[in-house]
Amino acid sequence: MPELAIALIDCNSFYASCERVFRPDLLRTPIVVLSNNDGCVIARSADAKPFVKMGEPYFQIKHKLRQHGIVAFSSNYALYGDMSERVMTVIEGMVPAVEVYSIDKSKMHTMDVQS
Amino acid sequence: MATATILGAVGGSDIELPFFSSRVPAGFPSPAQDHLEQKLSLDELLEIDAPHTFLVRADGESMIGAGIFDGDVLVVSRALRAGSGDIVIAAINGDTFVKRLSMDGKLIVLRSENPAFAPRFIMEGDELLIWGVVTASIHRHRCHA
Repeated sequence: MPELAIALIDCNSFYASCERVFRPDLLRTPIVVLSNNDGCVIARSADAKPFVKMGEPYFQIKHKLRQHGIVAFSSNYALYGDMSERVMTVIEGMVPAVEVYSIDKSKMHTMDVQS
Repeated sequence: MATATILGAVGGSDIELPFFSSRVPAGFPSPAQDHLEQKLSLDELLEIDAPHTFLVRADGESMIGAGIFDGDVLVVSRALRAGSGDIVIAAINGDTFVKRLSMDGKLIVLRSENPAFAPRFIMEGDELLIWGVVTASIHRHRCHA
């Protein structure tokens, strides 16, 4: 009986990473992604994390974003859904079984996968 | 300078088109010549459904020698490792271009396929990102009515 291994996969700063794929000009620019109606911060690229906390309301941190040259994106769930599907397809091609932990795109854990 | 615009998500479809094995004759085709061999899907042919495929629109005239014209849609793979001679989507210091990649030892040059455009040598201090490799280009010969 072969030993069963389980791996957890979680994409880094997923929404921010998705936005950056299509904006090579922002490769070195810190970015954040905002919730619906630009309410609060729901994703931060690694280089934005030292300056912005998760969940901070956008209207309170506008000055801070300007000060550090951080670019804010409104959320684009169609894009994140598409990129998530691509990631899942790649993972499915590598392992015998995949369990998508959460498909609920309103949650931040869309990308968690058990296999 | 010809630039490239990265388009949004690619949506695949399951539409399959009849694929005729015989070449298209220059005259009137024989009615008996119905060698309908297999169904061909454009998704499959261009790998549109693959998770590494993205579409990019080419802007400008700098690649006309390679058959890429202003407004053509390029099928781009982000999974291939770019080699010398490949047509690539390259970001130089944040600006995105379609160019022919040429690598000779440490020398990296992005060349246009139009004598009117000078080659772009990648210097120390330039930031070069090869975003993807162009695998096909879609050129419209006649637009919708």
